[in-house]
Amino acid sequence: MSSPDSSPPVTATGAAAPAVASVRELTVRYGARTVLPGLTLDIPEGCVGLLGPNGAGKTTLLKTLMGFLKPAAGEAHVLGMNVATDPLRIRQRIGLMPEQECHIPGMSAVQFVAYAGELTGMPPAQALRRAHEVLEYTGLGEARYREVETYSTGMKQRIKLAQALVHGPKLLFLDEPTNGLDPQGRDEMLDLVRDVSHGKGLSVIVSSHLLPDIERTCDSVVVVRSGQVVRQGLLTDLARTMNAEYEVDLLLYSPAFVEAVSGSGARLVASEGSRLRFSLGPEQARTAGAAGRLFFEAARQSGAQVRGFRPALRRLEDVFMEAIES
Amino acid sequence: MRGSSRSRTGTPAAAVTAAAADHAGGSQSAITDVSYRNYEGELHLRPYFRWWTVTVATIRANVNRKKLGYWVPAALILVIYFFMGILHYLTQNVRDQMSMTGAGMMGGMLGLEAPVNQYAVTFYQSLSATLFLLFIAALTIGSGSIAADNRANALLVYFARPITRFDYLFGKWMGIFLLLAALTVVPALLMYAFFAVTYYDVGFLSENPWLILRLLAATLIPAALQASLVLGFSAWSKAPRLAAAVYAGFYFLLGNLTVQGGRMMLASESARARPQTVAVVSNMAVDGVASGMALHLLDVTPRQVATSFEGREPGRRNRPPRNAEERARRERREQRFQERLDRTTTERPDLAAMLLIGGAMILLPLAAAHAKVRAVEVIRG
Repeated sequence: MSSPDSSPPVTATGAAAPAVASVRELTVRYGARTVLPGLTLDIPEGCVGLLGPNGAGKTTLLKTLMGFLKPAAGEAHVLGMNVATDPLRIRQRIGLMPEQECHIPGMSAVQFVAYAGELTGMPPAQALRRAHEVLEYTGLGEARYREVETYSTGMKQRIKLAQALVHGPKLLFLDEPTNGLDPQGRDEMLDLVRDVSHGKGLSVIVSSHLLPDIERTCDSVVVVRSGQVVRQGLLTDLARTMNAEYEVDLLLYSPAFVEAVSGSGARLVASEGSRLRFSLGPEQARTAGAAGRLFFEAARQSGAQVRGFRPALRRLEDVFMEAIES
Repeated sequence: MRGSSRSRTGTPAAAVTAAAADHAGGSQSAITDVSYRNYEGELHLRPYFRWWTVTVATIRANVNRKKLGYWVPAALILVIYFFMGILHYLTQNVRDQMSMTGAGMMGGMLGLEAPVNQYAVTFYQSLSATLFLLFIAALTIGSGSIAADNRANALLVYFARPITRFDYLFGKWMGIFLLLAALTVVPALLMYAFFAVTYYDVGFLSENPWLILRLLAATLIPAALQASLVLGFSAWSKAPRLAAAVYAGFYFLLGNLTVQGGRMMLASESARARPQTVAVVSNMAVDGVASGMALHLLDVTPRQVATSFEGREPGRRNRPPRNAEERARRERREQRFQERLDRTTTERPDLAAMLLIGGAMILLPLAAAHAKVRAVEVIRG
């Protein structure tokens, strides 16, 4: 890993998850501008979110993994195959749902998806049968004989997913899959992404600016900034605050309780009604018992009624902002 | 929606079947299972024939869409070949009748003496007459072939798959080429079959053993030229109409420039002394190259073609004029004919020059298209 903050995700048994894509000292340049300066990264199996601000190098990384861009230095492997020497075999086993609208002009949905399958090397009869299946799966069964040009934005997003799935890829690249969708369409698309990436033998890399989308679909994330990995790991791991922050539920909001806790070296970081979030000092954060004693003592002093407390979980947005600003 | 009892086929009949199955068995039948299943079937890389998928799709898209700009020229080309075939038949038969009955006088009056190698001349004339229609067809089916893909970001769909730029371009080119070749080759072969049947007795096949191959080559070259050029222009545009307009501009401009250049050279004494140069300059346009190559392949000279339209060589007459008035009339016609011939290049353009220009017209647009066609636009900072 290129950053001490990042650690490779592990499986439930504690073993490192096998990488579906890995890059070593990858350098990609656009003319004189270096976009990926010696990036080293392993992307594990499962659904992985690729996060980063604009210009961080996410799309460049995807393009390089697809073999669209030639690296200036370093090497990249996808599904165990070298991008530089085996780009066609790689593209046969991966699916791409690009960010921008794309289709083959003049074709109906079923023709388009079947053609995409044939281009990948499927026999025409199987490509056609499979096109019907994936169009049904993506919810376009009723509109499959309509020309793609007549589709709404939401339908075009779905057909992009269908054409990426038709040949049964082992790895799927989704670039902003909810781009331009209304809330309901977004929900349905995220359900599809979540469904396809879990228990179907298919790994998915989702590149998105929308953190809630990543939170909802992905198991792990890679945060990239200026072409370098600044955070990587399972979402559940990254969300942990290592007991540094606690959420306390009171029966009623009590300023005296806040004052008592603050007087012990903790700091109120957020409050929502009677739910309070405290950042503890290093001594108190060491054990759950110390934190408990702190809250019970404060409750005794203030007369507030504590209904419960637990280590707080960070939102992905917090993790992302922390990684970007670090 | 997924995992519901919706039918996979989406047809009412299938939905009813699925509903009945659910009702009867109470369990999910296979037909209602629309959840995602991975594909574990065959996937071939087909290293030498990946382009064929693109070719088939290109042909299918143009044929299915019933484009008038393709089918009207196709019909007109057939009509032209039919008309030329009939004309040839009438000319030959009348001449034969004349020679058999000794009615040479009548033939002379009608001017129906056919020059030598008349079959090849007829093929050449038919081909030349259809070149513009071929251009219209090329414009219709070819101008949008890559431009529309550029507009719809279809290149991302192609190149996210095991398809190389060569596969894509060659597949597109072959699709357009085959569609255009059908317009030139099929009518020519029909005419050839007509001649073979009609003139079998007079040794059409035995006297012209290589004519069919020469004819095939002559008819394929214009299709190849048009396919390459229109593809080259299409690759550099995102709007099919713009690509069509620019290619049409190129076609007409180059055509006019070469014709005018040839005429100007014929008007100058010094240039007329170099008829080969005049012939090359006159044939430097798209149709000019196709015609120039056809002259060589069919072994026809421009003079034979020109005199064939007149039906005779200048100065040849079977019957002496009856009176002074007829003599004067004949002389005036003779003079006009000679003037027309003087304005025409009488030499075949140099084959090497035609090959060079034709090769450039085929390869340069493809190279330009290859440089332009990419999965992603890379802006070098």
